[in-house]
Amino acid sequence: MGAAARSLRLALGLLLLGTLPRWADACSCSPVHPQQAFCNADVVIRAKVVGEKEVGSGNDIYGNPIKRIEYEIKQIKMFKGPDKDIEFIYTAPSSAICGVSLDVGGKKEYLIAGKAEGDGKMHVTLCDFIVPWDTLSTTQKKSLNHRYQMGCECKITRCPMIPCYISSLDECLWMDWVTEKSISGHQAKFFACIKRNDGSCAWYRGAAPPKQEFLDIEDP
Amino acid sequence: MLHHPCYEITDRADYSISPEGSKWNKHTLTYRIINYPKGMTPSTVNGIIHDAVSIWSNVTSSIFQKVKGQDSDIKFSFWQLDKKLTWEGGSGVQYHGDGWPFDGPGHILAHAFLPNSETPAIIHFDKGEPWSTSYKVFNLLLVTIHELGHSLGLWHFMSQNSIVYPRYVYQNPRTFHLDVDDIQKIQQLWGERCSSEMP
Repeated sequence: MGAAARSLRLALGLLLLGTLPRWADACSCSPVHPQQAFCNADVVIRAKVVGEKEVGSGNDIYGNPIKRIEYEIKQIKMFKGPDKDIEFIYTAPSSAICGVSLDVGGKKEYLIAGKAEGDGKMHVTLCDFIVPWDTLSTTQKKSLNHRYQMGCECKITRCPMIPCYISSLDECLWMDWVTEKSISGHQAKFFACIKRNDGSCAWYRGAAPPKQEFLDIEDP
Repeated sequence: MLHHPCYEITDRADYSISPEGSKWNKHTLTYRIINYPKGMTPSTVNGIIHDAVSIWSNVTSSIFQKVKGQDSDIKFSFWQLDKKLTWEGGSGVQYHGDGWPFDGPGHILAHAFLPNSETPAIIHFDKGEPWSTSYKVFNLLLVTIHELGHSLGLWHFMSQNSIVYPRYVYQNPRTFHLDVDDIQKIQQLWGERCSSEMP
């Protein structure tokens, strides 16, 4: 291999390394369908990050200071949450646990779900649904407005391996992991679990509002 | 002195940092199980943690020793849902001690600290999870292997095949094996297993 090829490979390697997320520590998260993430969150917004600083939040029992990252954000739209716009997002620092790293500079737009902290603030972790806005499918973007909310009383049950069963009519079985070996598969990208008029729940595909026939169907 | 590829690690500090993560500067690590989750006997949990430790020691030069009633390098413990879930308290907010609260069933399952943190290799599990030994959520072995990977120095790796992928992904624990990339990364930190040195 020539020197040029070697340096190209090195450059590519560094480039890849540079794109890795900065969160460094350990965190195990339960995989969730985007709709579950929406329903479980207090706050769901579309926003840009315009500033970042480290702030103190008391001490741990070992006497070490607990530091959090404070992201100053510009909220573009709120899909769920309090009346007041979110101005600051808090998370564990990159050197701590379950922290989320966001691009500062106000160019990249994110969908950010998390926990309200009162008065224009929220706290987020790696286990929350936080993705660059442009990676969402059209269905996901549209579902944020009303669709996901229509199924918040339903239960999305993840199938870890076949066979899987549902135990009640208000469950939707999430099969992406067994069918596609992915937790961001077809059902995550294009479906929402919707509650129908008879109280049962079923997957609904597409961006258009569900038709009356779907909502009224007696036998799923 | 004979050069031994298994013992290249120097003892200047307890850890060092590389692109794959941060690493311990010793081969033998002790571990201790401080408490246990509900619904599982201590002997089951001991067996699971032993299996998780073996997954990593089988592919590296690391050796693990379980200890009781004394300080250890790696500490496993289970913690209840923290009642205070907001940060408004400011100073004095303690949660289960480290500042990063658990949240009951689902969402955050566990966390661990890397070797270069102020509280290295402390592994905390959310006691509120329905921990299992089967396909049911959440298989304790799989989460323990993940957290141990971090305690041994691995950072998160954004491939779904990796055990240090941050989202829980079920695979059959009976046939579990580490992904080749995970093996390569941990061997970059720890070196390969030296079979002749194993007890």
